[in-house]
Amino acid sequence: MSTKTDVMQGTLGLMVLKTLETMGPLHGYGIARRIEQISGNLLSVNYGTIYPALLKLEQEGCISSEWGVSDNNRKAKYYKLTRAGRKQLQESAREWEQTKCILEQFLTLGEESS
Amino acid sequence: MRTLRAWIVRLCSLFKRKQLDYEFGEEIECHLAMHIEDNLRAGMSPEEARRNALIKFGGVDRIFEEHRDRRGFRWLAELQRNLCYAARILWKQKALSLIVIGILAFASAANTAVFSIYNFLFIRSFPYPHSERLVYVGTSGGYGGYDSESHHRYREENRSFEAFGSYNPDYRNYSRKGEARTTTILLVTCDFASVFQYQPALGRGFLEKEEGPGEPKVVMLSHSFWQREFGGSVSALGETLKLDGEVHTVVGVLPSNADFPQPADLWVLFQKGQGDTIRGYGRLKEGVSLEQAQQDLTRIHKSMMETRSMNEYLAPPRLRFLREKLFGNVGSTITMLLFAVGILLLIVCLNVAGIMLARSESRSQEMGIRTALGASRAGIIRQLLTESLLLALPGVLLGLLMGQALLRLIALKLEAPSWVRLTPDIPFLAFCVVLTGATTAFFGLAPALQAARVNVQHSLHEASSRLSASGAKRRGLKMLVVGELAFAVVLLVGAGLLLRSWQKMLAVDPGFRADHVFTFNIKLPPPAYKGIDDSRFFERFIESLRQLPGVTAASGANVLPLGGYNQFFFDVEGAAPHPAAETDPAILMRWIFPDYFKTMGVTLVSGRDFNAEDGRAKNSCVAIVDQSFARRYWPGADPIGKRIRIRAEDNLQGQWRKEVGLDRWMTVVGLTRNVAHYGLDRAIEPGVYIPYNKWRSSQMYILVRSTVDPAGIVGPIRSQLRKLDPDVGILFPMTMTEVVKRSTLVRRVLSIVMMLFAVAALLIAVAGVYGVVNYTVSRRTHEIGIRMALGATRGQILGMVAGGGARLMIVGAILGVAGAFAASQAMRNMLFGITAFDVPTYFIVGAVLIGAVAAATLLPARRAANIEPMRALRSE
Repeated sequence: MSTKTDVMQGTLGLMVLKTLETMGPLHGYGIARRIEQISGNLLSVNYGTIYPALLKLEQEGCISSEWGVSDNNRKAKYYKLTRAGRKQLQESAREWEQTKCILEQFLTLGEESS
Repeated sequence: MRTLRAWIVRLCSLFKRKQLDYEFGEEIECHLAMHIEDNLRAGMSPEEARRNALIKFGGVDRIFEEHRDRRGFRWLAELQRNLCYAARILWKQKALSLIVIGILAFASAANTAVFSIYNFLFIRSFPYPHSERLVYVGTSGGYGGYDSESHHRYREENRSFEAFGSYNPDYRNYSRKGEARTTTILLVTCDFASVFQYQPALGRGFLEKEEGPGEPKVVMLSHSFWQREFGGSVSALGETLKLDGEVHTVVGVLPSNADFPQPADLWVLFQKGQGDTIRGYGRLKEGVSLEQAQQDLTRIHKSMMETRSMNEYLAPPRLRFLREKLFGNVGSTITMLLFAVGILLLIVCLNVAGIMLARSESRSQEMGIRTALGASRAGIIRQLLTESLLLALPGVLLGLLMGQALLRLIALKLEAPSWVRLTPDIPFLAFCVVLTGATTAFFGLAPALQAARVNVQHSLHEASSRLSASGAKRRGLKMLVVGELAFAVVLLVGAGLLLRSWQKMLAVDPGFRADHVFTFNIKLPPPAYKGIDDSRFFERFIESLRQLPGVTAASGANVLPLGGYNQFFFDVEGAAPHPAAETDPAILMRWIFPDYFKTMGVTLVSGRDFNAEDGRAKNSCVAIVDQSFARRYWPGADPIGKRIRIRAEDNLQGQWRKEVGLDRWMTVVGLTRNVAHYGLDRAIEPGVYIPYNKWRSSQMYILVRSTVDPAGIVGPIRSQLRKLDPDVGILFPMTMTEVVKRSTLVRRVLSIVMMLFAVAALLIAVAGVYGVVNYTVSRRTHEIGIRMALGATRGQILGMVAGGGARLMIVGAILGVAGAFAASQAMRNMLFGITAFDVPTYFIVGAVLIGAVAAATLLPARRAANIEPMRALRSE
């Protein structure tokens, strides 16, 4: 249980960054919605948990925030990827790619030997 | 890097909590509003839309809390909460808190002050560049020095020093605007300033070419002398001063910090071939050890001595680091003081621990509630430690300020030179932090642990807590008080031993009568008075003093009792065989004028005093010895008529010895009582007196015994001196009583300071006893009521309570005496005239302790005895 949330904590940040990269500046609600859609509802998280994750990214300087106005004329806080965030995203993506490859090799290796 | 950034942001966010909270609330609101809108668009009813949005979001409060934790630091927030709470609690008990802070401040003042001194003596570097490489160059003899040639050979041929210079403190008669005065000077070689890297405040330093013999004489002014005599004017440069009748040109002004190795009005350049004995300071090259430098100079010294005749021989050089040279012999004293203030602090901590423990008793209910509501043990301990810290911190801070103020006062009073630095520095601040932490932990931890061990059930049941929980606490309190008493006894015994030593020292018969003797020093300028003329001058001066009204006797000597060394080895005709185990004693030799014994009040046991004719003729050789000398060499025999002779020792200047006829046998003509020359608390060593005119001295102490006040006699003495020579001033005017008093100063100060500490410790410990007995009485009011109702008399109750106090005292005293035995062994070499097991000291300490504890016990005991049984029973 706890390991699952730990993984989630780590990946949530990455997902937020990726979302902001593809969608441009977006508010918390939008990000949460988008992540849910992309994961095909497989990942059902409370929307609220997005906020501590956003705060952490902001403290680390990966994203910045600004109050703005939404499509239907509502005041909302918009998050935006910073340059540091872009770099972080590339790095993390590469790391994930590597991890994925290693795990894949491992798993296929296991299939062959059996 | 990113983590660091996050930390900084988090730290900053602590200061705008309200705003951030508000903003986040708004953000959540927006989020929910948008979600609800979307839900409505998807066809939900308004109610369901709202419910769904909230469920999807997850608990708003939980997210809020998580957000807050993430934003700042949880522990910081807790600390802040704890601090606020602790401040409220302590504020509620203002009086108690103030008492605790007060005694902590007192103990910290003592500790920080003593540590400041220790820090200056043994840790802190001196305020000169590379001071850790500064080395003093003296001779293996201890007080000796070397000559001009040695200096130049050392300087030119050494491979160890970056800078090397020599100096000798001296005096010069200096007259300006008609008034003759004696100024302090430092005779220095041209490179002396470079050792300490003193930069002239004005003008320039000395040049090497000015050291040549026959070159015009030059001086530098000290900063204060420049201000005083020349009003700090630039025109002082190039001015000429007459020192001992010789013209010196001012070339520069020293910086105000140039008061090391010692303050002097003027620096006079030491010229090549001048006869003075000098010592040196050098700064080692980087990477050169003291041993290497020692070998280096020893090598130069050896090659130099090979070419010298025996009577030009000098003792080999001895190098010491600055710290050892200056403070080598005060280590044990300051360590003792450090221990004493440490013990004082321990007592204070024990006392405060007692107060905290007693207070935590009344709060056991609070602790119970906290525990019941889910506070962790660690949380409660943290809370209580925060309270302790809040007491310790202001206590130490206040103490620090008090200690610094005290030190400043002492430094001002003693006119400490600028290199004595007692101000706070990094090690000092570290000490204060450790002090705060240690005291907090020491007095806070035990009560906190005790309080955290609450039994929820019990503490919530108030009545039961009164009976059961207090048992353990009372034991804890008693243990603390026993500890306080024991440590107080250690301090009392230590202070008592020092005080008794001081008393013993004052009771020592110095061998002379110090009252009504006024003394001062005169230094004659060398060019004007050559050779034997010095003696003539002194003779005439002393004779003129004898004519002054109120003067009963006047004389002179080269060394005063309790002041200075002038030692030689002697050959003794018909001496008792020399015990092999004993080294040949170096014998104090004093050159005296007739009437010395009468003036100084030294008893002449047999034989006669010198007269004016003694020593005048070259072959007339007489001496007077003291009883210690006679006992050492001719035990049981009459010394009169025996003969002694100064031994041809290496370092003796053979030239003058022959010239004045001191190489001959001298006949003993008188025997005097011993004089405690080296200090009242030192062993008496043998001594010899020689007629004054056997010694070519331009410097003499003049002694005047009078029936009038010394203050009234200074004026006439000065005018007599002016009549003889207007260029000569007087130096060190003092009464002999002052001389004696000064020689006992260290012991006096030390015993008074220790006594202050001990009395403070006793008062605090006794307050502890009072506290615990009083506490016991109030806790046992009910029980006492029952006892009295059952027929106990008031006397029995009094005895019961007082007995409790007495038991504490007995246990404390036994532990304390054991501790004192150990401690007094360590301070054995500081004692005089008594052993470490001085019975009267222990008796007096015991009596004081019994008296103090009795007073502290009887008050609450009386209160207990006066309890009205009926009221006591009803009060519960």
